[in-house]
Amino acid sequence: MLAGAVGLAALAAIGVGCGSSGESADTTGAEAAISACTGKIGVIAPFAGTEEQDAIQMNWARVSLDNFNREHGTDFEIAPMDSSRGDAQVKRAAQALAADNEVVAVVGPDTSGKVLAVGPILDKADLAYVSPSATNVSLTDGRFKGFYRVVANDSVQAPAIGRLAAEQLKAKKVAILDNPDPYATGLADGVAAYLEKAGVPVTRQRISVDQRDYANVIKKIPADTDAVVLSLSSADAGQRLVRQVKATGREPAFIGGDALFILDAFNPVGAYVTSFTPDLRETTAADDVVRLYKAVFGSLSPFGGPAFGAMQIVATAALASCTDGRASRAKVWEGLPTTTIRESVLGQDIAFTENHELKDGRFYVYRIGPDDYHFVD
Amino acid sequence: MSAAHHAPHGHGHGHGHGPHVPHVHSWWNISLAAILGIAAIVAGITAWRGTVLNGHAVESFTLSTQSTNNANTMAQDAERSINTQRTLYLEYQQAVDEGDTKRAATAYSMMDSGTRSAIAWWMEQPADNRPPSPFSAANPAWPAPSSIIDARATLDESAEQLEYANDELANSHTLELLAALLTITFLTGGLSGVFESASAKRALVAASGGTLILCLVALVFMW
Repeated sequence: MLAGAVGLAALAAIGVGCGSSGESADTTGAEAAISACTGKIGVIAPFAGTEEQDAIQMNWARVSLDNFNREHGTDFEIAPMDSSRGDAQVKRAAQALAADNEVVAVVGPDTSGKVLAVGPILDKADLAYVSPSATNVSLTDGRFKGFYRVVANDSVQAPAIGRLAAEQLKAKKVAILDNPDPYATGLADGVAAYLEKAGVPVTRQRISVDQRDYANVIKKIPADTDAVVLSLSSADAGQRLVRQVKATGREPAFIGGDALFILDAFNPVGAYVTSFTPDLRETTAADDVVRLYKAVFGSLSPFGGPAFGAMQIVATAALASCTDGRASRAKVWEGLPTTTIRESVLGQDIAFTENHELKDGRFYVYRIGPDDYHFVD
Repeated sequence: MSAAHHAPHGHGHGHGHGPHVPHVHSWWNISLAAILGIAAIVAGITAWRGTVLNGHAVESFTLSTQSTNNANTMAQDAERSINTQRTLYLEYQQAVDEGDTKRAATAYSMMDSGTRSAIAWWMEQPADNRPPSPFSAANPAWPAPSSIIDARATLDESAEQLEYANDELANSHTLELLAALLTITFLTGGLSGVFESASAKRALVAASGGTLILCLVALVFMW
């Protein structure tokens, strides 16, 4: 009986001990998380337009930073630079950020062309910059030391389109249309290579995105073609082309590249389109931030996850660089390559390869419904 | 020589020295007393722990209700404030456009400090870096996102507290069930005293002890 009582007391003590140690661990974690730190994080993205679409990346970056500040007790400030007016504007923006010693890193720019424009300026100032949407393959060939991205590059997109056509749609013959643009022709080349390797016959045409009537183009698409890949740099041209093909009574499957991922401009019901960004409504890890975004902006733009993730990893590197309450540009430059965000809103870890690409980056395929995109793969 | 050697032998039951008191009965009684004693202690601890958890649950329910109310108030205040400040800004801008300085000054004086800072930042921006209005995510002085995020965080905390309270209440109910199960220990232990058959006693004491062990293990896991 004595042994039983002692045993019970011991077991009870173990139980109490467990509760105490759990509480202690939580407290330690909370204390570690609260560490005041200041600094500015530049954002080069469009925000001057009046449409909701015009400021999606800026909105997501801001929600990400404000949320990070609340969670970590930091006081990082956004340094916004509009990028909607072309290369001259973004160069001025990059120079302003480079000259401001409080700016420790940059989220953006949003397009590959703008990265080419500002890369030399930011590199020279030792400012690391993480793009949420620049996908050109050549950007990570070593020419820019401070450039990172949180999305897959275009070399991942072509196989995604090829797989969709050959394996999911089981197309017997595919027509690929592109226009004279490095992005469009590069993507078309990649898709053609994939399909030819998969044994799917391919026809190709180069078209003009400024053309209004595509009758001559449509006439050259073989009648037995069951999938048309639109590797175009203009969503409006893609929309015109699909409408005119359908008007002839033909119903092949249409697959658009990510330049057509603009629902307001390219929206043929049933067509497929790729994107480097996941639909945050489909990502469990993004539930909380989706609710936050809705609360702040009223409506939801669910394809801004990369901007949220880019800001999150930059802010994390900035916090890690903090000394005496101030983040350091030089230390962010050093620390970013090894910074990781586990189970990010993108549905995967955010970490970088040696050449600053997103590890395990992928493209997503959506099918266009009457009002929205529907995730396919 | 011990006294036992002088004691008269009984009539063949057992090998004990007490007349007509077999060893097996003493062993049963001691075991039974131990089981019932431990069961009484466990029942006491279970009841105490259940009451403690129930108290935690009530406390957490109260805190969660308070923080839910606070969070809802914060969220409503934040949203109301955003709309009010936007209306005031529109009034201010319209007055400025119309050259009505008195009305503009009145509207401006009614704005909160965050909105004034947001307007000041917005007006300082060069034309090619200015959002369409001061109420933009690109305006670091616009306080609305952080105020809404704070309110949302408070709401999340209250939801966590509610979840914790529910867990504690469920644990407290399970402990009450354990206390009820411990009565089986008392019942079977008590019944074992009224049976003469050794196998019946053994079965009842085993049931009593088994129930006690199960309840003990459950109590440790529930702690």
